[in-house]
Amino acid sequence: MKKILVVDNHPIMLKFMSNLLEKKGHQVLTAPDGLSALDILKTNIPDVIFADLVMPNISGEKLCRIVRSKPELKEVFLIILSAIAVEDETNILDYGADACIAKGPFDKMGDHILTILEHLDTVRTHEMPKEILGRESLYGRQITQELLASKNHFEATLNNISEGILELSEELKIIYANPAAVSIIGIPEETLLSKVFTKLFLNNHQKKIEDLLKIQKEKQRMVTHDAPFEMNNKQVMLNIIPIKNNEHKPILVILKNITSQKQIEAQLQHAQRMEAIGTLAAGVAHEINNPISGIIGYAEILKDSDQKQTPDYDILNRIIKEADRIAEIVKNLLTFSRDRHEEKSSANIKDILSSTLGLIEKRLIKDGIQLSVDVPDALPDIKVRSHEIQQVFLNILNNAHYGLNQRPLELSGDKFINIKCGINEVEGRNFIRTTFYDNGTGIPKNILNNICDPFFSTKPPGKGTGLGLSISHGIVNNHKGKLLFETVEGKFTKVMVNLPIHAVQS
Amino acid sequence: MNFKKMSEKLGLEEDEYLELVELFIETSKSDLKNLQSAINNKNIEMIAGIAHSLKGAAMNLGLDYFLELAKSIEKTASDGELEETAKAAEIFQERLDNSGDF
Repeated sequence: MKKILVVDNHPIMLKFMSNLLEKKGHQVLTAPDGLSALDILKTNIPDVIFADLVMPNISGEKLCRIVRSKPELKEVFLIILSAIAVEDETNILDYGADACIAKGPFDKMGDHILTILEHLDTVRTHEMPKEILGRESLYGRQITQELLASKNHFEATLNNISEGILELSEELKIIYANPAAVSIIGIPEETLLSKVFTKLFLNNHQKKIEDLLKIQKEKQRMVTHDAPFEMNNKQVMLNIIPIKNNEHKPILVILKNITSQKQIEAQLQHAQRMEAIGTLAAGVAHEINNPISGIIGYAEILKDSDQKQTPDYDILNRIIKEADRIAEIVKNLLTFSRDRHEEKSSANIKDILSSTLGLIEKRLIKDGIQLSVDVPDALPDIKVRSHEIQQVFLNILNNAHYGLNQRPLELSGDKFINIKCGINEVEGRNFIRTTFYDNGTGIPKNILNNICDPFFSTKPPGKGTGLGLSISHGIVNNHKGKLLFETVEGKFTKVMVNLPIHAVQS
Repeated sequence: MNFKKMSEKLGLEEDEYLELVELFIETSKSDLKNLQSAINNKNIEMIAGIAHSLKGAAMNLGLDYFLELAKSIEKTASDGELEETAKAAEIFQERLDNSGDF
């Protein structure tokens, strides 16, 4: 007594096989196509599967490959019932099938089937007759050969284009994926087939995609979205097309990977934004400088008159000190906003750090973060565009700030960021290494490789662009430096920026 | 049609065979509806697919007359002679309608 699954889209085959096999005392399960067969296989492990090759939704060949990729179905005998046995030269063994029986008149077919089943009983290995049983009484049919040739031609096209093509059943399960789609989605074909399409996306995008699918169904026209969706860390545009004139009403989805396009667009936008901010900042800065000079000047005048040793003298000094502070902030802003097409020039890391800290220090201290800075005075110069390096440092400090704020309150000890500079040798070359150490939440190991990817962010949607580290990474690379990370999740993050030392040193 | 003889030839019980023939008539009727719209839309590929299905079932049950009709549908469609295809389909339909007489 065996448990047998028969998969064939023709009800007559299913009925015939059920009758034949049940009469011999076997338990028969039937499925009209690959998709239903996979559903049945989720909860049943048969001893034998008979599968037709030519079926809608998932084809027999695909079904075989999927079955053979599942370890729990390893012992299942897979027998193909083929109507195109003679025309199709492909070796069925390539699909992982154990035998093949050509479809034909029921008497001969019935005999072959029963013979094979007996064979299974006596020889419990996969040593089955390798030739196709029943082939001798059939002949090559010209039409079928033409159909197959045309099919191969289309498959060759689909296999080589760069756009991903998916076909979805009416219930939105994936029943076909071309190689480009598999590569974009990053899930092996066997697992991808019969998966529900919307589940490939982030939760908050699933609803939007379901809506798009509804529209294409109602309006029966192609539907697309003006923005890409994220899939497997790529930005992908979707085109959804209903297929008419087909009894099964499948849906075609075209995937276009526009990640690199988006990257370039984002960099351009960012550069433009920075330029705009720079121009604004420069304008504001220059305007502020004048009144500041005025304030300092008038305060100095009052100081010079006989106010010494009175309480007012002290206040005047404070006025000058605060005004100096404003001047410093303005200076930092001007550094930040300088023309980005500048050549690299000699600069000292200490200066860059202090102007960076000038911009962000207060915010960090306000959030209870202790800052310690350890930079020797006499470090060699580096050749850089200072404002870009400042941008990198700002980005790293902002990330540290965010990470520290995410720390659970129960953790003992204060939040701190430690910044250290020193000389570092890597492969015979000397670098100035700036190390930023924070005792924040650290970076999980599984995303460490992604943090410099554009659009990658651990912040909730709407917060941040996910571009900070990718741009910093770009800047450091342009300076022939290196951006390195060391981290333990829940404990600390260490970011190291290596910048090459300016070769011309006396 | 001598069902007893045909069922014997295929090694089936007569009532089993009858059941299968009834099923054949049912599924073929619905296939023929789809075939008609495929012919109207000049959708050669779809015609070929339906013909393939009809051929298989007819061959399984040893219904040679229907088998020949199905083959003819397939060939005339691929040769582009859709009028002939429509004719063959009509004959198939007639034959099915008259099968109730058996």
